[in-house]
Amino acid sequence: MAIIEVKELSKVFKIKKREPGFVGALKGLFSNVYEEKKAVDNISFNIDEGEIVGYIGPNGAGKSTTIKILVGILTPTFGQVEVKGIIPYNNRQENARNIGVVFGQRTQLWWDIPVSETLDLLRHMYKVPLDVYKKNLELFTDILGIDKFIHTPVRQLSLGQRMRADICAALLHNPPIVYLDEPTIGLDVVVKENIRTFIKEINRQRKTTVLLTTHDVSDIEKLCSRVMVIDKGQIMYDGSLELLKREYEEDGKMTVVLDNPVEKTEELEKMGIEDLNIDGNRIAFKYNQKKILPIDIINYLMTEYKIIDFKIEEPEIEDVIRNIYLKRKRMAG
Amino acid sequence: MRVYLCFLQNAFQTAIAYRANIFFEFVNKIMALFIEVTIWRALYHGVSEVSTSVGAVSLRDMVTYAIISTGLSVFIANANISKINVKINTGQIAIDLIRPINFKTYLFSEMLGQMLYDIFIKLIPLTIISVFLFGIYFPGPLSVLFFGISVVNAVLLNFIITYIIGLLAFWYTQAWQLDYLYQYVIIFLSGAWIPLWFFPDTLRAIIDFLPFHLIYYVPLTIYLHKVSYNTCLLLILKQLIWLLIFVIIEKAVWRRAVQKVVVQGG
Repeated sequence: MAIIEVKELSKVFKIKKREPGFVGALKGLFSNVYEEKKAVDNISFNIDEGEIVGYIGPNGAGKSTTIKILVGILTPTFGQVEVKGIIPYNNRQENARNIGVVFGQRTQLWWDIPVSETLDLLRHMYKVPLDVYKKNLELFTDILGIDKFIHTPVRQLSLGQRMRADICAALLHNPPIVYLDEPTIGLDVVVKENIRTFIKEINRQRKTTVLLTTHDVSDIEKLCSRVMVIDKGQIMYDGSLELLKREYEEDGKMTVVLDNPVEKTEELEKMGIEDLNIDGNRIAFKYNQKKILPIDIINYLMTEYKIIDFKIEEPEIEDVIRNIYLKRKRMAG
Repeated sequence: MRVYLCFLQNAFQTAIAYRANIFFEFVNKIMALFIEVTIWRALYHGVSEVSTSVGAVSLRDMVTYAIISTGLSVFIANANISKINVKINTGQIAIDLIRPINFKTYLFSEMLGQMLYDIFIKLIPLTIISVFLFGIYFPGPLSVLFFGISVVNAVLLNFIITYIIGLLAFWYTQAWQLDYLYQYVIIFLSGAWIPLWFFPDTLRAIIDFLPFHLIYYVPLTIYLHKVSYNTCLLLILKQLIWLLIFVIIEKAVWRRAVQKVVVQGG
């Protein structure tokens, strides 16, 4: 059953048109010419209870606008949105009880008071029963280790600690729906991993529905059963990550360090690798994932050299989106 | 309800956390008061009373006016306009709006917390020092009661007016100029510095139609017993009517403001 329903949603912002330079600024004082910018352009999707959906796209694609409409702080220009049967922008406070939100770029904790007091305040705000509150604190301590900084004022926390505290704050009242807007931005690998484990655990235990925006492909790979790609306000893809990758990312990238400098490359080229770059005993190249398996390349290299190190690079979200474009262009032309 | 009490408590704690300011704020207020009192003493040099539209006004009345007015300013003034402005400009407003709380009640609780701090830490010592330094007029108990009620109304009025002005930042993202403008309006039209009884008749008639004199001038005239008890009740009624008008305006402005939210960045 769909817990989030978005139907033909559009959001148009009016931006005052400004000409460059001093004269332009002066003109701007007397003119009222507005430019319309479609941040979200006629999108529709449903999200079922218990799904973890990755919502990805380049900066300015319309991700944040969609989330702001879903949480009820922006009113759509056209279309309908229902979250757990509630229209968020008409019933902001009612909707707020059903959701937890993390904006990675800004904190929702009170700057001057310790984390524990913020959590206590939120307990009253969401009327969380004391036993649920205590159980959640235990869970937060087990997975995120917040007990180590719970009595520190927020302004003295490191970014990783702050983000963990922010996630606890968003999930304290067991919301059935959670929106995470770049929850791992700027964090180190260990904290990222912690946060992913936590989100997974919450989803498993409580069937929490999660909508996650990120620039980090591994967030998506480790968490999401489904991905939506948005660009220029339109949804370009909605489906599994596997399919998306197979469909649009054909080139894999590999870097290999060998015991000896590479001399002959004919064999490798025959296998179908491209963009070969040799730097002493380090080689880097691309290969077509549909035609050649990385293990075959490794097998061949092992017959000739000793492999000291190798790395297969994950395709970046940006690359995937670029490929979607290229492919569509090719199809159109 | 409980959560708003938490906000109040937090605001109080935050105010205490920044206590380095206290000393200088205190010195500022005493200095300003000293200057005001000195000016009034100079103006009253060789004169025992001045006759005005509210009857004879003595030097002691004026010194009391200055002290009470400074005392009121310690806790009536609030940071609503700049606070809302910062919230909108930094996008922090998004965080406030994703919570199941009423934004106005939230700001009001924070103001009360700050006010409690102002009263205990600033007002009480300031009053004690001024009474010893300059001397003060004490009215009868009924005047004190009416004064108390009118001060509560004044706090509410100033809150709702600054809140509405603050909301204008939803349209006009640089509302800090409005903050300055409002401060000048208060200084001049509310009677915070110069009692309205010294103003020309026409100007006073105009000011009477505006709500600002209800914030400082009205509590002060009640305290100094320059109006009859019947008039006191009338003035308090006038405060309540204006409050009601502003509550209605606020509802209309808020409804449009939330439609208008443009969260900056992120």
